[in-house]
Amino acid sequence: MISVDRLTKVYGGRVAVWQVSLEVQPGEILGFLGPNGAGKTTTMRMITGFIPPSSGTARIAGHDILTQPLEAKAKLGYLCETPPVYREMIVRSYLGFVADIKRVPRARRAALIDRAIGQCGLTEVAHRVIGHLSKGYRQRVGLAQAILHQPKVLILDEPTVGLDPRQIIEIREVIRGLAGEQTVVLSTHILPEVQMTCSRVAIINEGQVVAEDSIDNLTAGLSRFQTLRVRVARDADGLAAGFASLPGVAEAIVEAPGSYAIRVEGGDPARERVAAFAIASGAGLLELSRQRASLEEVFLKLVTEERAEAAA
Amino acid sequence: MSSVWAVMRREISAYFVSPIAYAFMAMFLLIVAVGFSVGVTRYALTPASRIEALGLSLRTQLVSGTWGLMTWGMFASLVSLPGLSMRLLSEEKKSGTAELLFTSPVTTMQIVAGKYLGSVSLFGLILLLTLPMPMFLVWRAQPEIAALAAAYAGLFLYGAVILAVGIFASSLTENQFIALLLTYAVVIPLLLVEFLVPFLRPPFDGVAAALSVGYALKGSALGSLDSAYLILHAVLVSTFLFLSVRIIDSSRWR
Repeated sequence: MISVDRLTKVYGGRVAVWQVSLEVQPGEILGFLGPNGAGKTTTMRMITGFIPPSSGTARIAGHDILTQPLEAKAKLGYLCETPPVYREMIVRSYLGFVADIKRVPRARRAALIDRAIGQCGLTEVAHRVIGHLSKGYRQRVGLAQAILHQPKVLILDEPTVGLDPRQIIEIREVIRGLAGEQTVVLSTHILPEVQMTCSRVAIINEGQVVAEDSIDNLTAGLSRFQTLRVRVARDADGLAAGFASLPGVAEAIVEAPGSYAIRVEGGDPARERVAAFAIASGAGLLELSRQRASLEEVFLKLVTEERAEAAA
Repeated sequence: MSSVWAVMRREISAYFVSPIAYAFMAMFLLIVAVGFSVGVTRYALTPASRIEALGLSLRTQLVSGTWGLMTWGMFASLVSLPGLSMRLLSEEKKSGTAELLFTSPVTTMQIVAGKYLGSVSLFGLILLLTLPMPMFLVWRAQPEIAALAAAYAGLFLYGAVILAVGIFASSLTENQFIALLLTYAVVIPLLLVEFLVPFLRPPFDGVAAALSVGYALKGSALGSLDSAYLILHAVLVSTFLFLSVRIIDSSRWR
């Protein structure tokens, strides 16, 4: 349904997004997870055709956003970071305007507006001026705008940012309710949000996709394996095989003479065994450190950001 | 076409809830009304023989010279119309609604055209609001109707050019105030060319006259609307609209 092909965006000399490729199946909710400034918004703006990519392209329901922009955009609903609302308009007439520019047929216009208003819980404020609404309601108007014309593809950029916990839950309900009929890409820097709403997750860091899997597989993979870096003074043949034969060690790779990358599964006891073996072998242990996988680093960043936000 | 229509309608309704738009509309009407009063008073105080000595018929003079709809209308347009066009595109960029427009199945041309037509319609409406003044003349003084109509048409075209410059300025910046100043910076020289005409030798005076938006209007106030000036207006309007589209598209490419 959505096919992103090596999207790249370079501003001046700075790479914002580098060769991002994604495939999203019909009915799926893909979480697009990454720390602030990782390139989430830029990627989404390229997928929706708001900014053109430096290279690469994206296809929405089979239409290329660069060569068939109008067809692709007709299949697309997009909620950007700040809801794109005209503050001086009344909710209902704003949605009427959106229906017009999204080319909703006259006959279905009123019904679809009512449906969006109902789905996003806007019934009470439908006749109020958008600028007078609270931030949570404005966000919901933004969401109503995105789902109004029943697009096949929905791109949501941080839909719950700046909302209070109750509003967050409500917005998540709406999004989960869309699964199945619509294909959704949802960006966020909040881990639990992905766990609660998404079936699959792509993690982006510094403009590149570093992992793409179901959230369970990703977290399981992270906690199970650790990579140790071992440096010894005197290299000896068979040292790598010796490391590999230890219980709890999955793999030992020679990185350079006297330097090994060892993947362990067993946590601290396995690390202890690696250290003991290195010393006992007489090779002269110089260094034993834990290496962080790039994915793990992203997770760490995400978690610390979240803690900082919770504290603030 | 329906997208152009939708953008245009939204634009017009936005004017009616904007205090800034009301202020500029009021400014326009005030200037024209003051000009009308001054003109009518002066006309009433001038002996008919002196007007005829100037070589104009009384009825034409009512429109062009005395009232000076053109002079005052041009001045009013120059002052107030940039205030109506300044927000057209700047505001979209600033408030983030540009992301809605440019991810919808509409082309940049349709958006620019819709917005431009919205502002032009509002200007048409403002001109309608000035109608009681010429109607007063018709009631009391039998002016030449054709001259009145041509004057109004000329003024409308004049405003259309200013608004096209205005939307272009608005495409360049997120800041409405800068858009306003930019519009003045482009429009004022375009109008000042007129005053050079008497001082230039042929063929330069012809070129300057052709470039001068105001020169066309003076003629229209005497009841003639020259097709050359119609072309000038059409070229200016389409050039500035085209430039706006290009600016928007290229700024998105960056």
